Amino acid sequence: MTPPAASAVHRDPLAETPLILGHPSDLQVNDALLKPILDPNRGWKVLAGLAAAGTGLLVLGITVTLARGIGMWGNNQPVGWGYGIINFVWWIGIGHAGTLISAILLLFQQKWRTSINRFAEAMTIFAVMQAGLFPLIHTGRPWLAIYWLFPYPNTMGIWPNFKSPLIWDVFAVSTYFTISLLFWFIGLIPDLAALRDSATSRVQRMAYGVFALGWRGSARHWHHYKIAYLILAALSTPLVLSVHSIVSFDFAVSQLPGWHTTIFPPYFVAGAVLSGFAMVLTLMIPTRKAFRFENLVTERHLENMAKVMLVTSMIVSYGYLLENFMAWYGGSAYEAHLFFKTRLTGPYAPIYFMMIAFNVLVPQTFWWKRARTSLTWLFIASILVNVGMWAERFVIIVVSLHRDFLPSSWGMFFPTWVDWSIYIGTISFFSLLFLLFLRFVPSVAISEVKELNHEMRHGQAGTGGHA
Amino acid sequence: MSAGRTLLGKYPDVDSLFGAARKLRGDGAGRLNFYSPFPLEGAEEVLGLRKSPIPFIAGAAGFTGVVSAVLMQWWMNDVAYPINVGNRMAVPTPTWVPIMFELGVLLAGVSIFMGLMALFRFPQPYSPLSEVEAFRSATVDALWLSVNVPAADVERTSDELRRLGAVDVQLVPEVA
Repeated sequence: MTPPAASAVHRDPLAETPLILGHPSDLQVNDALLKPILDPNRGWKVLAGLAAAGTGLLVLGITVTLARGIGMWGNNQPVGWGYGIINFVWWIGIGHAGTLISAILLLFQQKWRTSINRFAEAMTIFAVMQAGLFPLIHTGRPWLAIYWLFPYPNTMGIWPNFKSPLIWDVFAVSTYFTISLLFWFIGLIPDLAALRDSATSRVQRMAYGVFALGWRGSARHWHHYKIAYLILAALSTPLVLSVHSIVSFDFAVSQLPGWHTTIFPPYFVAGAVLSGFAMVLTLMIPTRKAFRFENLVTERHLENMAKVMLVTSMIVSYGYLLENFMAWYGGSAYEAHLFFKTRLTGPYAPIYFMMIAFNVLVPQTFWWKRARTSLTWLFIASILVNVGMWAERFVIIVVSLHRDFLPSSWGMFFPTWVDWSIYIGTISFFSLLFLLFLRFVPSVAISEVKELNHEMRHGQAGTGGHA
Repeated sequence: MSAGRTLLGKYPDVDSLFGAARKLRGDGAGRLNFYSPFPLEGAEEVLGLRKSPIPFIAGAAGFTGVVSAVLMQWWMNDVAYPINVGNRMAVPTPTWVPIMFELGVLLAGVSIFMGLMALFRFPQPYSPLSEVEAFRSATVDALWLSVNVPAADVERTSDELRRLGAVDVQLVPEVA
């Protein structure tokens, strides 16, 4: 990476690295951030082609499922929730970092969020889209499932059961998606206008002009905009905590050992944030290099994300520890059997130990600054953590279900090729959406970076967001 | 639009922009506005803007969401199609809380967006301001001040804007 201009001067070793390196002007910020859109490079087409091909697997998997039924998946008694729910929880969790970065860090006035929030919000929206697919297909015939999912007056005179966490889930996930989309789009409006006004071709001016809705940076508009953005952040903050809490209720309110525990909501939220930050790193490290955003997404940003991962990993570890303690202290033979026999020595034990290694041990390396600042290790660790978080959901769902109270009803779960193609298909679809986002939408919040840049030049303290 | 015209002045920094606006406002100039790529701290005060109604809109919509969640769950599960789950009390039950929260947040969030669109009168794909090519920099890297003046005063106010530090002055063309 290019050394910052300030590095020639001796700096206080305890002072933090600036969030924007090299003192760029507003025009330089604008051009650097819009370059990938106005002047794209070729590698994009190759990657987008690969992602589009992978998305074909998703279409295939869904078609087979709808045509031949849910029996094409690996789940059956006793494991009724297989890949469908594992992947749903995994994707929803990944989405959480976006809202955390954009909303919670805004309220806590953490200025370092500015360069990464747009990126993370896009990740949220695309991840929630993948997540929503799974329960929908899992119903088998989604068009027949609507009456027990959404309250609408149907000919049978039946209404959904609002005492069921599954219905709360429908409301939580759809609200989460809607609010995330609005938050993202409202944040995007000034940047779309900048894009409209920086574009040279008539088609681009028209296209971005439509989406910019007519924004011209009027102070009378900024006045309403700032407060709207702040309130949306304040609404999103409890929302993000509620979503994974409600997802965890799907498990926690049942009687099954391994599910029936009160630690689930906070432990699910922490796990979600851990996997989400890992995914932001996985996506951000190659992007900042390809787009040469190193001066705006600095090592300090990456280091801060590693610190958040360390903290949330320890909360997750505490969750694991407490689950085991309760299994011992609670004295239930079934729970003790699950935690101390099935998980440790059962047929899926390697996945359990993978979960411990990747979620508990790997983030512990982030105590060392060298680990937090090594791009290679950050990238590898971020992928390991996401594998670990997937393993966690596998352990919770499959391992708990496959050996319950009666040994006569024990059984195994094996995913089929349809399970795999839908899962790989969603990863590809997510990548495709993300590549389209990188290509057509400003991936860093330009107006916020300009505001931060302005504040840094004038040495005043501000919020680093529009609030 | 009245017979007045709109003049745009580009200023090199926030201090000269605010200084010019204060002077013009003191002289009783027409409607003033700033255009900038990022929000300007203190612009509300210089322009004398009233408090935004957005918090009120969001609060009212959020309250509506919470109340409708209560009514919906009560009517659907206890009146229209009663469901007894574990013989738990019918009214009011803690199981209502997640939906109350979600619906409150949903309505508040959507109303904020709709409220912004209404206050901005968006979508507004065309504005006479788009006719001024130099004004495109307002969303990129420049600070602009706009002032509405009677047609007769265009010359005088242009000079005034320059005297107050404007590096560029543009007249927004009249559009039928």
